[in-house]
Amino acid sequence: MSSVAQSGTASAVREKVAAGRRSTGLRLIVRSLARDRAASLGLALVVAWLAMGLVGPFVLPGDPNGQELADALRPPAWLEGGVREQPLGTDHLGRDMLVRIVYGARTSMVIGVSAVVLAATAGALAALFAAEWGGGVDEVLMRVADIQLSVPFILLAITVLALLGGSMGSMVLVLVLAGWVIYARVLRSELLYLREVEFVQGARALGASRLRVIFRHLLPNAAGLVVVVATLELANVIILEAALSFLGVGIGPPEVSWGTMLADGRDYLTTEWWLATLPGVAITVTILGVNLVGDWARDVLDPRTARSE
Amino acid sequence: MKAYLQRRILFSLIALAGVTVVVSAMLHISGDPVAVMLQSGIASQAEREALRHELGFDKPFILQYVDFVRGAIRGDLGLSLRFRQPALTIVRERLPATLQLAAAAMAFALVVAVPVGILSAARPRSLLDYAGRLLTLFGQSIPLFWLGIMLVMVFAVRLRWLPSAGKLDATSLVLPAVTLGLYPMARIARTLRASMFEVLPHEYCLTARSKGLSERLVVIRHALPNALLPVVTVIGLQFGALLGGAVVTETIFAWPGLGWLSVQAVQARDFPLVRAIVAVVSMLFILINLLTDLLYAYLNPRIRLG
Repeated sequence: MSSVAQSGTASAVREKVAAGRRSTGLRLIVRSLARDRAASLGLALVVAWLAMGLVGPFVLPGDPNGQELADALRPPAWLEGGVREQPLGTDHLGRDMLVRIVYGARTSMVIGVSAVVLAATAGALAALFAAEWGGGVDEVLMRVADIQLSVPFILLAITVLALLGGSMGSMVLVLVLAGWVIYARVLRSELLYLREVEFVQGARALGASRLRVIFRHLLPNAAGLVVVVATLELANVIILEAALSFLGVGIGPPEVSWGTMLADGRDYLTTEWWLATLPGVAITVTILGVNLVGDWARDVLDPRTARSE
Repeated sequence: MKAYLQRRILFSLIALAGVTVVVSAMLHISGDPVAVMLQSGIASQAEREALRHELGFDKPFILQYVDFVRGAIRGDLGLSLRFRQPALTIVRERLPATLQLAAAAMAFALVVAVPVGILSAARPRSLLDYAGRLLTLFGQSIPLFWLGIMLVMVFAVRLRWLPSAGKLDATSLVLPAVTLGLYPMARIARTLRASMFEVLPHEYCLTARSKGLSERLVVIRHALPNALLPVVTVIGLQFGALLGGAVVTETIFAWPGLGWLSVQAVQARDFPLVRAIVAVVSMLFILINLLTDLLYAYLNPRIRLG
């Protein structure tokens, strides 16, 4: 959500980004984040999610796959029939919901972060090749990207996953395949623009080698853009993974995925509503946090926004 | 303009070919199609070989693909392994349901997004603005499949106002359309709002205001048409995305369309049907993108006259 009257610190950061300075002042960025309440909330949610995923499984006693059929379908603690030992109730196989949600956070975190990092790297490399070597390489790369974008990816995804089987690895592969394109396209435009900016031309005139120009000048300035795209894509990746698991082609036991939990919970909507509601809340809150941070990132770090002011 | 059109069409065909090659390859390596067809039944090895030969599954991949393309031009997209019928027939049966759902979802999205976007931009920082921004934020964050399940739980199970699944009568369309349309609504509203912000400070709005026009006229007759340009692109993109979202939505609501069919086909390893669905949906997708680009080129005087 971009605010109409820009805060002083946000525009100061943007000016530095637009001017092509390498270090935009980490302190300025942090201050701008702290002032933006929505972004702070978003960051808090994201940190909570990461903490749940990283630390949760070690801190919580309990087996996410520990079936205890006698205990099945127990409501959350605040409802009648709930107990304190299982604060969020149990599912149809007697597994503790809280533990499963925490493990689900780990799954979405591991898959989400790896998919984004790998896709961003692949996309950035592709963009670099396309922008630097131009001509045939550029054409081919962009055509491949266009071809991939000309079909709703979920169709290809479910087909590929049905072939490979649903494991964490194949899921990450599919997500990377889905995701690299946007990084490649966006970065390619930005790199093509940056190459004509004065300080790059100056560097070249001074005799800087191609590699040096890429690493010292082009990449650092494109970094902000990568971060912006990556945060927005993280949300998409988390949703796509959950959707694919929900459809039954993604993560399956013994791994825990919020999407699979939702699919399991569908059969119990009438009475045991918490099976389907709680994982959904977890996903929504996480995505909300990521989107809020992404919006802030776009306001502050996106050089294209800075330029159009 | 004509050269542009030709290039786009040529390229679209290449894209279609690329996609079908990929799915055909997957069909090829996915195992023995005859085994899928003859699930029940004790056919001898010789009978399996005969069937395989008759259906052309023992040819090398390239030849199989060429056969497919030749057939496709004639309107034959292969045989569904599970239904034993021409894949195109099955696809044609289910396509209208998906189109209906997509249209309803887009209608819902536009009906909500346009007023929300305009009002949000026209009265920044008001209660209306914050409410609108909250709505769009949630619309963009709630996962489709969860939204559908929650809507079913509230409106179908608890309140019993609307049916929970299937395509029975007009009310069956409501929940799936709202589920599918919420995310596009959020994106369109946000884009429109941002676009209006870009447009409203311009001189021609100032001129209109100083001429004494009411704020409402300024917003609707002068600012809005110019703000709509980037929104058109987003609408086109979202329409394409709707086809993807339909896969999950139809599965949740047992809506008899292509999305649900594709999930069933994949689960049944009926890859010829999957290939047919992908081909048809890709064509639709490409068509929508092409139309969007053309519309944008037509609406943007800089491209049209330049």
